[in-house]
Amino acid sequence: MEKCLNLCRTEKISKWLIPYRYISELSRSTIAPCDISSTSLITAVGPSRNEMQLIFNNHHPAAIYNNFGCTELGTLAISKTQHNTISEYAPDRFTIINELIDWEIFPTFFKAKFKTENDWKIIGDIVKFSNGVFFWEGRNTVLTFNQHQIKVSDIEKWVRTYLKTSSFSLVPDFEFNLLYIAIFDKNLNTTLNDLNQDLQLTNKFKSCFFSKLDFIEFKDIVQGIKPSQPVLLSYFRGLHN
Amino acid sequence: MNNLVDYIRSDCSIVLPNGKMIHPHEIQTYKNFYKREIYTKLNGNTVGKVVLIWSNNLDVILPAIKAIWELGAAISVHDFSLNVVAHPLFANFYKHIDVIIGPPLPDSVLLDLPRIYALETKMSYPEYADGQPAQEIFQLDSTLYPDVTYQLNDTVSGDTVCCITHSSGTTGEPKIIKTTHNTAIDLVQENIKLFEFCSTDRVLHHKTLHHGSLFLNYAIPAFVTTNQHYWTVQKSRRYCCIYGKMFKFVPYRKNI
Repeated sequence: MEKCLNLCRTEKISKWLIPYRYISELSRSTIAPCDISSTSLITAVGPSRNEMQLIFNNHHPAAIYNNFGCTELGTLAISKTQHNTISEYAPDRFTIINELIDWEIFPTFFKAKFKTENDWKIIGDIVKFSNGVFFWEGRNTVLTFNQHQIKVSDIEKWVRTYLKTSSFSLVPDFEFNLLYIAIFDKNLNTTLNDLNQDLQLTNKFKSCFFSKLDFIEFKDIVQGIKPSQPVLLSYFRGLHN
Repeated sequence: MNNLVDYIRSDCSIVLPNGKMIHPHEIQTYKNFYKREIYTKLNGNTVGKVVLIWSNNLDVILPAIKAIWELGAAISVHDFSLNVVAHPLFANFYKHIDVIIGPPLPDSVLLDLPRIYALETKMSYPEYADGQPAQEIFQLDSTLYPDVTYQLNDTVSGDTVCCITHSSGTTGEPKIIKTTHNTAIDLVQENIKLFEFCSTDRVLHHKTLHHGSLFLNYAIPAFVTTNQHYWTVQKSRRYCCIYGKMFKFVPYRKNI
């Protein structure tokens, strides 16, 4: 990342396309500050607000774009953050909407299609519009623990708060009613036992537990792209924890 | 043929005008010829077929983008590793693919793959010198891409498939995603607007270029708006940059 930062500065790069979650690395204290005020960063998953603040403080980018999208329809909504709008930023909040898309939003999923086509795509994410702003609230899936139905998206919210990061994927195994977690940041100090103990201390999730946890580097799999759910599921089924 | 590799090697060798036969691992020597070869394949020989681009190599990606944007070719892109490709969940995907341009396959992979026209293998980029990226490695030369003599107008319309890719599927069931030319053009133009790409941009590509959704959402919007690109080779931590006009700004058959 430091070499890219220097390249942005010396070559007056105006757009830097950054893979999936790598932008968070720019907030780390191990990366020397570098003025890239001529460069806008375009990425998929936005950093936490604290990380966003650190990135602007350390490197002064012109803007940071992150987006919500899907393979079926591409970019659906965008967040553009500049130094004077950091206070409005949240990683799951998007203010610029793709005008090509028709939407129908339901409590546990949404339908969307290109306005020029008739083929509605059903996307299993929980989203909402509020005052013209688009919010992503997680994936919709339900697992049963001790006869209690639990939304995986609710556990996802808890994990996001607990780990203070979005660098993970929950992997539900519906066939065997199990839940796995892939963590994409090896600097996070947690274990399967720690996670389960603290999860079960909550009133809402006291019957829930993760069966397997593993730390996975993006670059080990597909060069920075999020590993797909079927791939992770296949991986965890073969993993002995 | 004893195995798939023999088949691929024999079938994908290229016979040069002087009669010499070269194998994929020798392609680097004939880089410019190879670019032309790919573009020609995408141009004329694959009309009505879907070509799977399984490569993050600029020599493959750029002709592919050019063929989509200017000719109306049908493309798929693929960035998954072999163990993923061999996963039965993805088997259905290959039914939609006619041709693959991709890497060599190991003996152990015995997939019922479609015909493979050519294989992209090693490509050497200049090393860092004193920590600085090598520059102006590629001065893109439009003569590398022959004039389009084969017109696709009769066979390609705006509602035919432009891109096929697959999605992991939220619930774990992979889906086949087909995008038409009209939709792809709209999507590219919308992304140009959303991300504010412009002709004076100097773009550093740090993303994988051949990932399904990134191809339409980032790679094509960037390459059709500006001529100044820097590209990173993540595994080797090298950089290269390309300058030069390469793309027409008006896509093929926009007004269908």
